[in-house]
Amino acid sequence: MTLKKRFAFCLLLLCQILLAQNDSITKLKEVVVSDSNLKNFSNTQSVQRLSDSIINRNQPSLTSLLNYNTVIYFKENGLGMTSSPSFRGTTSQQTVVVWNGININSQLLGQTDFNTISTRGFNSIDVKAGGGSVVYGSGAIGGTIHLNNDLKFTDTFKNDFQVYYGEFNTLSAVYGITAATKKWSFDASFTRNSSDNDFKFVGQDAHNLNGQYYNNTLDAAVGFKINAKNSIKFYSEIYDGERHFSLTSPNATKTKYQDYNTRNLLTWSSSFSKFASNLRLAYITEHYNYFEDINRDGFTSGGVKSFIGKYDIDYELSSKIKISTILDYTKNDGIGSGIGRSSREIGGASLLWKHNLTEKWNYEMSARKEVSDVYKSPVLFSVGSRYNFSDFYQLKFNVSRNYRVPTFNDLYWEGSGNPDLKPESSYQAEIGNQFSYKDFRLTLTGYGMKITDMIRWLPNNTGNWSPVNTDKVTIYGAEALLGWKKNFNKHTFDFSGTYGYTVSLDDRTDKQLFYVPYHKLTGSLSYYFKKFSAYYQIIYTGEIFTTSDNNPKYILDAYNVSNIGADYNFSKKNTFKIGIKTANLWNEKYEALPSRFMPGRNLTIYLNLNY
Amino acid sequence: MKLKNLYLGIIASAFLFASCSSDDDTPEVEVPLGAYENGVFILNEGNFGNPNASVSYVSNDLTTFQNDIFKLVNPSIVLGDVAQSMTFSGDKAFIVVNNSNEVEVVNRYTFKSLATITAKLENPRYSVVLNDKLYVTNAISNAVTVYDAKTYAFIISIPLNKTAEKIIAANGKLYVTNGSFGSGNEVTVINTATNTVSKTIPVEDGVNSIEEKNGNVYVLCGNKTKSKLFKINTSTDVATSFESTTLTNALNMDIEGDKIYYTKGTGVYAINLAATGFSDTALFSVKDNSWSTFYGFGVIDGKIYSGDANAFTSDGTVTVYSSTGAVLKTLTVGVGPNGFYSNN
Repeated sequence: MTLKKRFAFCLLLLCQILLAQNDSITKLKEVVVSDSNLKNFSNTQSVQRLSDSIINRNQPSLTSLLNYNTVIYFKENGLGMTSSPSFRGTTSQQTVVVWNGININSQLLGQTDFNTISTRGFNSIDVKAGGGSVVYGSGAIGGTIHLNNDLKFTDTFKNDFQVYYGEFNTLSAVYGITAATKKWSFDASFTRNSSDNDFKFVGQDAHNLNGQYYNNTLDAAVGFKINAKNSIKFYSEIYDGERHFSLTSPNATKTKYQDYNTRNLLTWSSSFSKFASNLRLAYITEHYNYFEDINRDGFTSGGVKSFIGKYDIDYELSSKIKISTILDYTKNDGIGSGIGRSSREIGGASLLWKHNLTEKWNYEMSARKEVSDVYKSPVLFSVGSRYNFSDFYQLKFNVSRNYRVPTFNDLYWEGSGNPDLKPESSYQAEIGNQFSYKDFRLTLTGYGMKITDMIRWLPNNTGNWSPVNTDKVTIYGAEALLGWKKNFNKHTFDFSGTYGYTVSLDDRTDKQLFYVPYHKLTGSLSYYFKKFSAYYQIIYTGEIFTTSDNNPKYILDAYNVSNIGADYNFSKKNTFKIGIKTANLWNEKYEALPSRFMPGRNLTIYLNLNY
Repeated sequence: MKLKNLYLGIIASAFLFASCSSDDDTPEVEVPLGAYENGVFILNEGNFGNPNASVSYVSNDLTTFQNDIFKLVNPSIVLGDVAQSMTFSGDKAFIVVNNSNEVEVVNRYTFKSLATITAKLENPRYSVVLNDKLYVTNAISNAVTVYDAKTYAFIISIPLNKTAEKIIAANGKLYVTNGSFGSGNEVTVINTATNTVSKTIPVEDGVNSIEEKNGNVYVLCGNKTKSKLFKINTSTDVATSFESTTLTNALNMDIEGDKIYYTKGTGVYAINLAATGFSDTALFSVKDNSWSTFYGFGVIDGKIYSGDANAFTSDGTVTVYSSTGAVLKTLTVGVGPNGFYSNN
C-alpha cells in the first residue's frame, strides 16, 4: 500500500518534470475586477489565481480549495469543522480573507474560519503571498486570500446549475445566473452545502460522531455603467450555517455552532483622463451562537457590525507614474457574551506610488498610518521592484512592514481581556524569480520575516487566562509555483504544482512553531480530450510538531492524500457534464490536528449544467 | 537545463525529508510497575478537546517514577479528554474526566480499569465517596449526580441550579463550592439522607479551595481586593472567617498536619490551623515561569509539589520542594499536571 502511494507520487512528479508550462492570467477587457488595488499594486509580489474551473473541481469549502492548490497549511479540526490557516509559517490571525477588496476577518477572533466560506459563488480566488497591511489592513502578514465577484459588461444570459452528491449524504448544490448588457451586469448565485459527515475512521472501529453541518450562501453582484466615466456596483453576500462539532471522545457533550454573516458593498467608480476615483461603502456583520449542549436551550452568542468607508484616488502623474491615496474609516460595534457592548473606530490614510522607469523596470512604494481610539499603530510600508530581464525571466523584490491589531476578545473579554495590548508587528522581505517559456511558468520565491509582540492567551498565576504580547518569531522559507500546459493534437495536459518550505522559529526557544510543517507540496494534473476530462490531485504535508518543545512523542505523521476524477460533457453547444470523483484514493489515515481524523476513500458524483 | 535541475533539487530534497520523517521514533518499551502504592499520583489533564489526559506516578521517596500509567496498564482504553480530579474509596480510585463525560474507576494499587461511568454526566468536575455512594459535581447540569460506588449504577441527580465545583464529605454531609475560575461566593450543604440542599453558606468572591480537618470545613476565597478564609463548624454549619487585603488572590489551599498551605502568585505560604490571620511572608517563592506555575499544587508528607502546565503547549513540569524551598526533584510529566494524590 505504502509502496503504491509512493509510486503514484513519483509518477506524478515525473510527469511534471518531463512536461512543463503556463497558466498566465488572461484578463478579458470587459471584465471589471472588484479589487483594483490588487491588480495595480501587487506587481512585486507573488499572486496565484484560482479560476472557476479549479474552484469547481474542489470541495466547496475554502479550506479544501486552498489546501489542494496552494502552499497554505490548514489546521482543520476534522472535515468541515473549524479551520484556520498557517501561511508562510504565521498564525491563524496573520492571514486575511479579502472579499471584493474588503478585509472580512472576524473582529472577535481576528481570523477567518475557512470552513465558513463557500467558494462556488466566486468567479475567481487569488492568493497573494506576503505582507499587504498597507492596503488590506490588520492581519495581512502571511498573505491575503481574495474572493472576487467580477462583473462582465457584454451581452450575456447564462444559467449555471451544479450538483454534487457523495458519501456520508454530502450534498453541494449551486445555482447561478449571469445577465448582462453593455450597461448593466447582474450575477447571482445560491449555494447549499450539507453533510451527515459520519464517516468511519480509517483503520478504527469508530465513526465521526456529531459532525453534521449545513450552510447556505447567497451571493449577488450588480453593476451599472451610468456613463462612460461613472459606474456603480453593488455586492452582497449572506452566509448562514450550522455545524455540530465532532467529538473526540464518544460520551462527550454534543455541541453546535451557528454562523450568520452578511456582507454588503457599494462602489462608485469614476475615471477621467488622469484621475480615477473609487468610493466604497461596506457594511459587514458577523454573528455566532454557540450551544455548549445541543440538548439544552442555552447558548452563548456574539457579533460585530462593521461600517467601512474607503475612498481611493488614482492620479497619473505622467504616463509612467501613478500615484494613489486611500482614505478609510472603520467603525466596529461588538456585542456578546463575554465582551459586553464595545466599539472601536479606526481611521487610516495610505499613499501608493508606482513608477515604470523603463519598459522593463518598475518599482512601487506605499505607506500607511492609522489612528485608533484603542491602540497605537505603527507606520506601515511596502517597497518593491520588478525587473524583466527577458521574456523568460523576471525578478521581483519586496520589503514591507505589517501588523495585526488585537481582537475584540483580546481586548474586552470579561475578566481576561487586556486593554494594554499592542498590535503584533512584522518586518518582511522577499525575492521572487519568475520563469516563463511558452506555456510553462515557474515562480520561485524566497522570504524572511521577523514578527514581534505576538499575542497569545496564556494561563497566568492568578488562575486565569489572559492575552499578552509575548512571542518573537523568525520565519524564513521558499515557495515554488509551477504551471504548465501542453497540447498534443487534441489531447491537452494541464499541470500545476506548489511546494513550500517553511522554517518558523520561536526566538526564545529556537524551536519550530507547532502546527507549521516544514514541507508542503500540492500537485494537480488534468487531461482533456474533446469532451472528456480527467484529473488527479495530490497533497503532501510533512510531519507536524504539536508541542512548543517539538517533542517527537507528539509529532503528527506526514501524509499524502490523492483525489481522482473524470467527467464527460454530453451537450454539443453548452454544458451538460456528468462526473465522478474519488477523494482520498489510497485511503490514507491522516489527521491535521491531534485526534481529528479525516475521511478515508469516498465517492462523489456530479452534474454540471450551463445554458 | 539549469531550471530543471533546480526544480528537481527541490523535489528531491522534499522527498528526502518526507521519506525519513516517520518510523524513526521507536518508543522504549515500558512495563507497568504492578504496584502503585506508597507514592503520589500526578493527574495530567491534557489539552482541552484532545483525549490525551494521563496519570503519572512517583514513589514517596521520589526514586521511582513512571508516566502514562493508565495507558500502560490498560492499553486498549483511552483515559480521555481533561482528567479533572481524582478521589479514593477503599481500594478504588475514581478519575473524573471532564470533557469526556466519564468517570474512570481503577484499582488504586494496580491501576487496572474496573469500570467507566457515563450515566448523566455533563461536564463532571469533582467527586467524593460517602457511605458507598459516589457524588459527582457537573458543570453543565449544575447538579450533583449520585452513583452506587460498588455497582456504579446511577441513583439520583441533586439539582443545585448554580455552579457545582469542588465537593467534600464532612460530618455525614456534603459541602460543594459554588464557584470556579475566580467567580462564585457560596458553599452549598447537601443532606445525603434526603439528597436535598440543607443550607447555602455565603462566602467571598473567588471561592477556590475546600477541605475538611478535625470536624471543620475550611474554605479559601481569593480575589483582586482580598483573600478570605472561612471555617465552617459542621455541626451548626455556621462559618467564621478572617481576611487580608494585602495578601490578595490566594489560591490552592492544602491542609497538612496542623498547617494550612496556600499560594499567591509564585509564593508558597503556610499558617497554623489555629491562626487568625493570613501570613504575608512566603515560605519560599518559585521561579516565575510567567504563567501557570502552580497549575497543580499539593503538600504531601511535608513536601510541596508544584505542577507547571507550560502553557499547555508541551509536557508539564512537576517540581518537588522541601518545606524551605529546596528543589528535591524535577519531573517531566504529561500535559497539564493539575493535582497530586497521595496513595499510601
